[in-house]
Amino acid sequence: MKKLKSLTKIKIKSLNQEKKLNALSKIVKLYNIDRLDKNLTTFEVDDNNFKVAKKFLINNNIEILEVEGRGVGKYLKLLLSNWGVLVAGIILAIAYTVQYQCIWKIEIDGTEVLSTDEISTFVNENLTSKFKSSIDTKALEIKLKSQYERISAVSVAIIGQTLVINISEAYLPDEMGNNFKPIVSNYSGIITKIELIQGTLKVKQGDIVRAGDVLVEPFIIDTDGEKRDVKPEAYIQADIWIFGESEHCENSRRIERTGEKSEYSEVYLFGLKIYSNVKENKYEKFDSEVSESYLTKNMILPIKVKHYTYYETREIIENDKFEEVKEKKIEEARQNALIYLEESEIIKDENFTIRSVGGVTNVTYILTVSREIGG
Amino acid sequence: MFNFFDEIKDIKNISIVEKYNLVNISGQLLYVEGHLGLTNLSKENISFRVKGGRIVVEGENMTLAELSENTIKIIGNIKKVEAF
Repeated sequence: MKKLKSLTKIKIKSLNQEKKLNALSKIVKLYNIDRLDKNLTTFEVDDNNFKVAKKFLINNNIEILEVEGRGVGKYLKLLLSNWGVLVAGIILAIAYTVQYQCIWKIEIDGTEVLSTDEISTFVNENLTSKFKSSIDTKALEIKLKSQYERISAVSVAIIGQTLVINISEAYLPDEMGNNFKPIVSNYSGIITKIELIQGTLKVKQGDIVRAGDVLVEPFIIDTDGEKRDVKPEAYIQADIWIFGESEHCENSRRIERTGEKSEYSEVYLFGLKIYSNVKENKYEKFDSEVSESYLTKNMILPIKVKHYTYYETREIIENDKFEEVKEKKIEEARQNALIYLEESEIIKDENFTIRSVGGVTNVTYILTVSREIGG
Repeated sequence: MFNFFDEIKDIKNISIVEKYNLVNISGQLLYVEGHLGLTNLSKENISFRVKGGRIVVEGENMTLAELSENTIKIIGNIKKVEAF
């Protein structure tokens, strides 16, 4: 209890202190009297008695050197003497308490098709106030479900100061959304067969179509002349063309080694060249190879050998007539076309074209196959 | 109100002239009732007047824990208490 007692410590300076303390103790009770020096003493009095003690000390010409408060009262006194801090603290506490009763954030999870911004706006419009106590989460769930057909399940919860909305979206088949797309051609070709199930045909048998052309539109005109959206369905077959190419140049240049060669070496130790027998290259036309190797396997003496090999070369001009390699080039083009053939696909027709410009001859091989083209 | 000194006086049933009461607890605390004023105050010597004489307390590192009009509480290493 004594620790809780609020005391004020006073340091005084005077002569004949015993007499003064005796006189003061008759008025107020003194605690922890400590004689620091002949003329210096500290003692404590109850806060309530401080004014009386001070008055006594002044009246008796005793010099007060220091006054220091301690105990709980000191802090209370400090707080009470700073009204601004106290008022600010109270206002802050009230403001925090009030704002904690409100929601400040709306969190929406689980949306894929629906817009979170749209839902957030809808929720904000349907909140009567921001106070948690006035938010009916069940009613909000019902409103959300009735507003958005796409929502199959929704839960609304208040967590802290956040309104958390978890949404599970329903899968709607295309028919319900009237979101049909036309059937378009995947290939270029001539239409050979059409079996329309539903939709409006945009092509007929024998038509030449390009990849991306519309084959069947996603609507029908009913008996009343009304346009009605339907999912287009049809089986459309066409003869399509698969291309393969090869190229031939009449004049070609080829470099080959003559068989003559010269070899040189350089030896390095710690990166410094210590031996070399490299001479000036004697060949007019050549190619070269350089290789490096270490003489020892350990790295105590890193002796590195660099080998240079120069090969003499000659240029050979070849003059191949296309006619001599024609069959080979046609077959090459065919093979290039066959790569694009699907498994077990029957070739209905095949032919090729040959085109020569500036000594370069191009062979284009064309395979005709029958394939369903409506994607 | 219960008073320890009055109680022990009654038990012993002896006649004592009321001057002062003094109790020394383990040489660490000295409590005095009926002092008439300090005469000396230091860490080694605290003396005060009582009715009919003077009490001198000697020790080490002593402080006056309480001082009121008629009571004194001394704490510290109390070596000797003499009444004159």
